[in-house]
This record gives sequence, structure tokens and C-alpha cells, in this order.
Amino acid sequence: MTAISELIQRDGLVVVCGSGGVGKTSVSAALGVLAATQTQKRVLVLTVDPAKRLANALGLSALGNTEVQITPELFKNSKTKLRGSLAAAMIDTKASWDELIIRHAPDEATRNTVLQNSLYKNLTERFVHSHDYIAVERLYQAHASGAYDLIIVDTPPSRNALTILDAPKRMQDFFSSRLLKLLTPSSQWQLLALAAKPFYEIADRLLGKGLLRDVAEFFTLFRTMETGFVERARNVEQLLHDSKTSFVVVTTLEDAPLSEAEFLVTALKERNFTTSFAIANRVIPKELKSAALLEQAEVLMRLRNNAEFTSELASTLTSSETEIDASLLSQTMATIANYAQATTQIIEYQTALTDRVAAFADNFASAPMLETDIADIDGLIALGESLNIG
Amino acid sequence: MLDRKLLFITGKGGVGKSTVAASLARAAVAQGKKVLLCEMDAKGALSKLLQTTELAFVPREISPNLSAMTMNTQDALREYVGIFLKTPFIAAIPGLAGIFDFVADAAPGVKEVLVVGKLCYEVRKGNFDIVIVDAESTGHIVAQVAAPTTLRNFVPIGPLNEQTLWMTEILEDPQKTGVVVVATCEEMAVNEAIDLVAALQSKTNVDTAAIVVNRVPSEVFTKSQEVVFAQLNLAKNKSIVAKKIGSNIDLALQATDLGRARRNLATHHISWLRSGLAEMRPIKDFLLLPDFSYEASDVLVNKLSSELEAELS
Repeated sequence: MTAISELIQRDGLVVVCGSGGVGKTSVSAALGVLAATQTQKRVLVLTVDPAKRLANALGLSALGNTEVQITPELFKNSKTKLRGSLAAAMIDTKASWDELIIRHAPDEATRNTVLQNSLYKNLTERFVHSHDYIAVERLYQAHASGAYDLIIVDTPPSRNALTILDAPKRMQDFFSSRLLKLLTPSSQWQLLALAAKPFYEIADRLLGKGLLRDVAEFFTLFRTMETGFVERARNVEQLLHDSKTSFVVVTTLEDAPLSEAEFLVTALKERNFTTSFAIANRVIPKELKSAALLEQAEVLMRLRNNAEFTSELASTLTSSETEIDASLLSQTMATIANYAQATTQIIEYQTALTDRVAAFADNFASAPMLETDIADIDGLIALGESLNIG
Repeated sequence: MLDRKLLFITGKGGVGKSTVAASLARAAVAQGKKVLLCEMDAKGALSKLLQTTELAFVPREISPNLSAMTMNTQDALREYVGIFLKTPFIAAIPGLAGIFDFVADAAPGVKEVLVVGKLCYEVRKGNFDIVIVDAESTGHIVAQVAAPTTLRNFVPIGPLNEQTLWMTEILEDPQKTGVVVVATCEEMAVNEAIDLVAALQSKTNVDTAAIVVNRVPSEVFTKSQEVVFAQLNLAKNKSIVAKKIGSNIDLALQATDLGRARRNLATHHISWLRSGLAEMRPIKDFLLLPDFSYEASDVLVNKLSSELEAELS
């Protein structure tokens, strides 16, 4: 079993995935903070959709598409200090697409026509899982720049997280697809285009005249960028398969996210991706043990009915500012006992699910349920440390 | 809200859209309605929740008065072409159906119209009293319910354009259609819910029927009990109490305190949600559902549907 402490010692990439609402973004940021405080690495955290408070926790009013260095100043009130460096950016899909078009367009005219095409925005938002592609593309960019030793990318919530891994392949497939060739007639495809005539006729009847022509025009221009895009997608794909790339699958100890995590970890193994970690987030703190809780609940339940005891304890607890009533104390003791008991049920439920995680994941760490949202750097440090311990 | 004909259940990923959709469907059945439950993204969560076999495009009755289906653009296109255009299906030309699907991806509104059209068609046919949709998450729903209008602006002529008119009539009638926005007591889920309601109100004419806050932790103490707990939990009192009791109760106090903290955080997020919504047009229903996330799926749906029944009656 590899520990998180070893993961952050490696140079390379960490892809954080999992279903929505499990705390991927916080875990990504915490891993980044952990690496930048425990090692001398230059660390970058790329996130898709940070909560405003999380951006604030990183000392930023908001995250943008460009990378921002976190200043050591942010750590001035913390016991833990930056040893390496930490940068963060939010992946803005539209802005990233624009950059891609600008980079790959053969000339200014093509570039401007594409960027101004009415279909363009719609396409970048929807086709070939463009968010997933952009996430891995940004990861590649940051890696290729050589400016970082460790890059952590928080992936977009995916119906099926594997789409992220398939995104570069799909981009390559898209350029070699019949669709693109149909829509962008070149000499050897003229014959097929002729065969597609009924298709155009029906499409015109369905969609309205001319719509398909606009689509074709866009794709014709897009095809001029094929070489750049395909080569890039191939590089991105290679990088994902590199042994320097690790995968972290975040889950909570609940049935649905756990099933998705299991599916993902298993699929990663089958596809021979490098070490994957499962992180169970929001686990009841370890020091809360079922047996002890039940024992304490039992004592409280027994004593709450003892009138002599409750009136004595009530008077002990009564101070000059607060008067404690014996029957109220008895009720409160019952509530505490009930709560302790209810907690044991959650612990048992979580323990059973933890066993499930341990069965499918070779590497496993957990983070405790927090009492508040993470609002500052100390919150991220604390989350990172609990992951580090396991 | 169950008196409407078409409900879209949406919210941030992970808030429990499918669970709420399934529970609302059960609650509607309990009210004597004939219900169609539709899953939008074929992720299979609904069939798992309802403990039934995989769902298909053709609605299947899975329990008395409850039918379920899963949406599929290809099938929706096939049905659309067959019903409205009386055109032999283009699948006759090999490979073109798939390509059409790809093109439909590019033009704004086409795919959404096929999908929304199918749902409106089920409403129009009237085989069910209510159609409940386990819709896509917040990012998509605005585009979806506004699709007929979007497409009309994009393709000013053609049969698809004409077909969008009757869909709009159903979608924009608050007696018939409503969006149910689900959130949990978490910062991101609440912010997305507020943004979504703002977008629905400013970009569409589709009514927001309800806000559902899912997984609300229950209150631990009454106000007067809080005072007692604070005294018991005071560092200086802990050893005194332990001595009196004859054993340590630290863990019981810690567990209770964790529950209190979760509840306080939830209350904070709920009031943030309320104040965010206060700036917008009023929404009829604001429902809080208890936290049953540690229950098995079937128990969860049963418990939530009884909660909803009670809340809505």
C-alpha cells in the first residue's frame, strides 16, 4: 500500500476524480497545500469549479483561467509554512477553448471566423465532452511548461469519470470521423457526399434549410486545425498513461458515490493506469468508537432517571450566571445518550463501507467529517494532514 | 406541485436528484395519481433506487400506477420523425442516424427539443397524470426547458420550428410545468441553487415549482437544553462530571457536538439560501427533507416519500 505521503513526494501529475458533491475540490486543494508545505516542490492546483470560500482560503478573491502564485504571506498565521511553491488556477472551458483555437488556427482569418461562429460557443460547451478534454489539455499544458514538479487537477463532475481518460482519444477520433469528412467535402469523399444527399434533404426538412450548411462551414474551418489538435490529443493521451500520473478517486461513505468510485478504481486497474488511490471523505472521527459510545450512552440513560443524582449534578453545574434545572439536565442527558447511540449506527454503516473501499482499492486514505466549511488556509492544512496520516 | 403535469427535478450533482425524483413519484402514486418517471442520463441510478431492472425508452410499469423510462436522443429522434414528419426513418441509410445525432449536438436546441419534446408529448397524450423527470444537473436544465424557444430563434422556418410551439405552451404554463430545484445544506449546492433559480427566472418563462433542501440534519437540542449541554461540555466541568458519574462521557459529548456543528452549519446554509431567494420572484414550496443518507436505497425512498406526502398535503 502506498500512502498519500508518498504520493506527494513524487514528481508528476495527480488526477482527482469522483462523483459530484464528495469534496473533490477541497481534497485537491488540500493535497496541493500538503505537497507545497511538506516538500520543496513547485506545485500547481487546477480546479474546475471552486467554492468562493475555497478561493478565499487560498487567499484569492476568485480564481481565473490563468495561474496565480499563492504568496507565503498567506501562511503567516499558520504553524505550517510553505517550503515549496503553490499556484492555483480555475479551468474556464470557454477561455481555454479560445486559447486552443488561437494556438492551432493556421491564420488570423480562420481564427477570427471560428471564434465568431455562432455555433462555436455551443459546440465548445457540448461536443466530445469538451470539459473533460479541456481539463486534461490544461494538465498537459502546465506539465509541458516545465514550471511545476507536481500538478493536481480536480476534474469536472462526470457521469462516468472515464470519459476524462477517453477525451483525448475521442478528440482524435472526431477528426477522423465520417461526419467531419461528410461535412467537409474533399475530392475523395465527393462520392460519399453524394450518397449523403438524402441525409441533407431530410436534415433540411427536420432542422430547417441552411442550418446544416452553417455547421459544415464551421467544421471545414475546424478541420484546418486537425494536425495541431490530433498531435496534441495524442500527447495528452500519452501523458495520462505515463507512470508519473496518479489517480485519486474521492468518495464519501455513502452507497451511490461509493459505487461510482468502485467502478472507477476497477476500470483504472483494468486499463493499467498507474497507482490509484481511494480517499473516503467525511468519515466520522476515528476517536469515536462504537463500544465506548454505547457504554457512555448506557451510563447516561441509567443516571438520568436517578432523581437524586440529577439534582445533585444540576446544583454542581449551576454557577452564578447559569442555573441548571434537574429535569432539564435529565432530558439533556437523554438527548446526548440518544445521539451517541445514533452515532454508533453511522459508524457501523461507515465501517462496512470502508471495508468495501479497502476491498477494491489498493491504496486508501480517509479524511474526517468537518464541523465547518473550509474557510482558510489552516482548514486546508488540517485536511491535508489528516489525509497524510491516512 | 404534484397537481402539475410535468416536473423537472434538478440540482447540483450529488444532492440526491434521483432520490427526490423517485420519492416524489411514490408520493404522487400515494395520492392516487398515475405517474411516469423519466431518467435523463441513463446513469442507471433510478432503476437501482426503485430496485428494478434496467429501464428503456418505452415506459414500463414497475409498480401499480408507477411507470418509468430512460431518455435516449436516438429513440426520441426516431419517434419524432415517425410521428410528426411521417418520414421513413433515416436509419435506412447506413450510419446516418449516428451522424445525425452528432449534428444535433452542434445546433443549439436540437437535441434538447427532441428530449423535451418527448416529455411534452407524454403530457399531451395524457396517459399519465404527471410526468416526473430526473433531469440533468444545473448546468443543463436552463438550456433544456428553454430549448423550444432557442431553436425557434435559431431556425426561423421549418417543421421543427412549428413543432416547438405546442411544447412551449405546455412548458410555460405554471399550472402544467414546474422545475424543482434540489439542494443540500452545503455551500456549493446552495450557491448553484440560487444561481439556477435566477437563470430560470431571467432566461426562461418556465416556473420554479419548489426548492427542496435534501439531507437536512435534525436539530439536536432545544434552546434550554443547549444551555445545559454547554455547561456539561465546559472543559473545567468535564472532570467534575466524570467524577460524579463515575465514568468518562467525553465521546458521547463529542459525538453530540459534531451533530450540533453539522446542524448549525446546515441552518446557516439554509438561511443563506432563503436570503438569496428572497431577492427573486417568490417560489411556492420550500421543503426541508431529513437526512436519511445512512439508510439503504429502498428504505430511503420510502422514508422520503412519506416525508414528502406529509409536507405536501
